[in-house]
Amino acid sequence: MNAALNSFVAGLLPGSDIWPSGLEIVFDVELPTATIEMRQAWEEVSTWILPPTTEPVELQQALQRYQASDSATFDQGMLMAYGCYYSHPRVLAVIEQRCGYSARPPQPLGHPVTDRVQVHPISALNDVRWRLDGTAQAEQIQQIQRSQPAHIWTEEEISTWPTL
Amino acid sequence: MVSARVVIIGSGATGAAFAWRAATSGLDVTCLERGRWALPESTPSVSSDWEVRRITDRSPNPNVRRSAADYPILDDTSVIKPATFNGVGGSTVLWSAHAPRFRPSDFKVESLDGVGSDWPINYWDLAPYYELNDRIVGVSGRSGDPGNPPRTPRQTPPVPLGDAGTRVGAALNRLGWHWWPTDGQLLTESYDGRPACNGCGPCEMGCFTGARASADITYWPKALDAGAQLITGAAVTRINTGPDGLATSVTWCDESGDEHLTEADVIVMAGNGIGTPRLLLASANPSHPTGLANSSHQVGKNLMLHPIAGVTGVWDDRVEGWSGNDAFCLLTQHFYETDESRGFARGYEIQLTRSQGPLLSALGGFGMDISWGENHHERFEQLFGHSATLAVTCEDLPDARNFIELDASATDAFGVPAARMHYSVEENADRMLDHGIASATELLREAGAREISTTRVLPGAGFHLMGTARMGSDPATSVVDSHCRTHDVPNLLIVDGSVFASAAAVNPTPTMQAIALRAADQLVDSLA
Repeated sequence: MNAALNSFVAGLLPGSDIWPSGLEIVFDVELPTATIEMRQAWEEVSTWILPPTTEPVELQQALQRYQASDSATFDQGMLMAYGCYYSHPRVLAVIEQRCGYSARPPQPLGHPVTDRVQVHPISALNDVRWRLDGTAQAEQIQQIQRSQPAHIWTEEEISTWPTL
Repeated sequence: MVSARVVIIGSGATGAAFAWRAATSGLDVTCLERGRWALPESTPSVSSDWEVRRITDRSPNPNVRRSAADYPILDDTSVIKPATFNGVGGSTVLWSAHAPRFRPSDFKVESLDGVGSDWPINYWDLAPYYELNDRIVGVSGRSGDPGNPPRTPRQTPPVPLGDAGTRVGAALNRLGWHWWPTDGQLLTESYDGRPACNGCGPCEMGCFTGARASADITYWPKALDAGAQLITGAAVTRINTGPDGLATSVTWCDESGDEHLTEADVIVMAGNGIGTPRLLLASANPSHPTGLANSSHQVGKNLMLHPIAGVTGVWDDRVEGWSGNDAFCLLTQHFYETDESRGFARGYEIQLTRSQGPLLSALGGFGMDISWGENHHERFEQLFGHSATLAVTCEDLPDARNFIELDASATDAFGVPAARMHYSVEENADRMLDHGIASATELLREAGAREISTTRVLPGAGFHLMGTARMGSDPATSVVDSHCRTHDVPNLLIVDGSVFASAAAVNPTPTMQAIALRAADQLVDSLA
């Protein structure tokens, strides 16, 4: 394993007693759809001079310097590392446990909104507020909208609007 | 029954709508699409790497995605990057289906506010076609919004507000600002053989279930049933004209690079606000030396995109922002119309979007401060599922600095030059962004958010492509007339967002589709 990539991943995602470290995850994952830019960044990061993971303070400082001096490579390398990390089942299981987000892809089960509100609590709307455009239609239609707010409009009625 | 050979270039939102309407009226319709069918079952949202694919091979940015069907769009001269898709259904395959309509004033910006230019048509001309379009694609929502002209009952109820939506709606009530559940081309109940949405979230990656409308599953089955022909993998390289200046045929290449010629009585451009001017400019010939339909020199000009700010609120408790479709549930148009005291013309809308998945949240989402390193996971837990974003969509005005041109430094696989985007935020919209960010911040604070962060202009939001072949009555200052016919080449129509004379401050797709349906009817009438 490349020492610089090891240090890069460990510096970005050190982990905790709850979260796995990047080192435990990232190199287990292949990203077949990674872009050219992500792959090139990964190659470039592998040439960086970075302290070992046993020197976390120095490592953080070195990464901050690279982030400032070569942000494009840093950002693309981070995309690669995070892309591997946040699609791994172990990490998704922690997210489910800690955040309540189901550890599965969005489909086919979806994430339905549970409080399915059909009657929205609108209270700030009692007056017609759209702006007249200088046409006769606008005057007529807005007048009806004001006088008959509950009127249910049909396609047939609306089809007459161009020639009102 | 009328008869004519109609060739449509592009099978997206407008090409599909036009094809259906024209084929239903008996016209001989052939549509050429440079991409392929994007099958719903290939949608990445069923795989564990779905979020990675959202930023790689399923990215809305063609320069990231690099699909074989895409053409190069050089964007280093644009602060907003393009978001398009080439395939059957076009960019509706990768869209979020937010479907508000223009307001009447949006068609009269010059006469009402002295900016931009008026359209030669008005809201009332389009209203029946908005309705027709809604019926075909299926719209969730709730009629009765007093902030807009009336419309028919929506095909299905509105999408649920969810936790953050309920908080923001209540805050809007306390502030006394207009708001309403948003119209969306996303079903909340089964309709026309398609199922209800299961709230999976990332609509803009493609819809696995078919609950979210896209032109490949709404218009195209109907258009094909009506006799339209659709040829995929057909990249049009030029439109040809005859000695009389009329369009006669299109030249296109198949995926093997073999060249074909298809003759037509009428040619319809439906390629989007970048692809359409690109092809018109690339089709220059001795009779049309500045490009087809470009005697006004307006082809490619007046590019409008909608600068969009993202203002994200974080709550102490969880709002489960991953539940439900991610892009919309409510909007406020309280600041939509001109108020001179604000220091800018026209206005903006604010829509509530939900939060992103784990990966994009870890990367910062819409402007959230989440560092790498020692505190990364602690911060992730504070943010993920606790946030929602208000998108402030600002009306763009036409500006000479914003345009599309050809750039031969890059070409597609068939030798057609790249499109180059030139775009910066014009001064009026810049002032509007300040106001909109302040309003969104006030709203989030009222809704109880404890932390608020802002992305002033979302850089990836180049999905509303408008104005680059604008509609007008004067051939000296516009490209198409009120029937979408180009002034210079009367049998060449443009029906996509290029024809917008103004941008409004809402998502353009329903208006684009209404225009395409109306143009098809007017073509049929003119041939009768």
